[in-house]
Amino acid sequence: MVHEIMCMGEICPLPLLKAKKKYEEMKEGEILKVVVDHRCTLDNLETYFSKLNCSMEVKEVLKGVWEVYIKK
Amino acid sequence: MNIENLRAFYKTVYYKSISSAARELYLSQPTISQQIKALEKDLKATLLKRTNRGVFPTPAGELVYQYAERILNLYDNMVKDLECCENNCINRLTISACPTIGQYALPCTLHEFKRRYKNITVHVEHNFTPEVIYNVKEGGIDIGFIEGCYVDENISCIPLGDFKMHFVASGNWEEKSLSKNKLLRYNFFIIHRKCALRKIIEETLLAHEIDIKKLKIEMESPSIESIKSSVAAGHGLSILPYIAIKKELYTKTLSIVEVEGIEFNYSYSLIYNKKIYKKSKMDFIDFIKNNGKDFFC
Repeated sequence: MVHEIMCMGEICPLPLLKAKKKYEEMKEGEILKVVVDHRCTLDNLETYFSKLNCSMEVKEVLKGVWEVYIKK
Repeated sequence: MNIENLRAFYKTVYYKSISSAARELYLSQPTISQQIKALEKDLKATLLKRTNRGVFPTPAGELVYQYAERILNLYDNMVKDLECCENNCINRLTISACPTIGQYALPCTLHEFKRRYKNITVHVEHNFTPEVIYNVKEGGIDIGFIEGCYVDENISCIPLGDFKMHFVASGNWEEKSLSKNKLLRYNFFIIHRKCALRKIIEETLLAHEIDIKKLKIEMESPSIESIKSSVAAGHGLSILPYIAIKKELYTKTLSIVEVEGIEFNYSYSLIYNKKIYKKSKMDFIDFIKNNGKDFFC
């Protein structure tokens, strides 16, 4: 199951807070997809989730727009 | 000269009315009149014509009004900086930014800056580029973000890199590439001429032998958001900066249209008054020099 959070145009720290909350609610094996359009948001997500036991994949779908997939 | 007398005069001319000035300054009308008389005495000039249709500045008053705006702006900024200084928070920073930077690129940068430099109070206002330059030159604003570049004997300019604008249409627009001649068929929603981006649009079009006056301009607006909604609704085309349309491109409510390889290139820069030293300002400039581009999206 994929949970999607759209964070386009939202500024830090809102996207990370939303992602954290959703991630906590998720079951193991589920995927969280976060769409962000600011590099610092991407960095924040990477820093936070790299410390957790999950796998993460980032795709730059448009110039300056990233889809972040986090598998719990 | 008492600065509050100057303020009373400034507000009176601004509202063309003594009673409105009195209301805003929480003073009585006779007080305002006295303050203006005292100012006229100090400056040895008659500044106001009093008629039964209201009050109007004399030519001398007009001159004083122009200066008063700058003097009061500078003075108010000095008082606020002083307050900060006394409260041990030397970190008050005022920013005046052109709309695209202010709305789309700056919020992130500021967040990261505030995370690294605690205790900072940042005041941001959005203005068009000529006003930003004026604010930094005359108004005591610390930092300005503008389209293009501006330098003079007091102002330094740091380029922030190159950016692009594109022809845009609604998401379900079918013709993803158009010939120049076809542009004349469609309605255009164009950024208002007060915005510096408009000049770049006009110059680029002209370099490709397109006269902007020949386009069917349905609406000119200073608000990029309202242009976006009109274009997304399929009412016509526009030319907009990429940083302002990323979200709509992703959600496919807008799409980019290629027109014979026409590219709208422009730059943003940061400007500041190099004659005024302030720690928070220098910190911010260093931050932008070192990391700025990473946080500009």
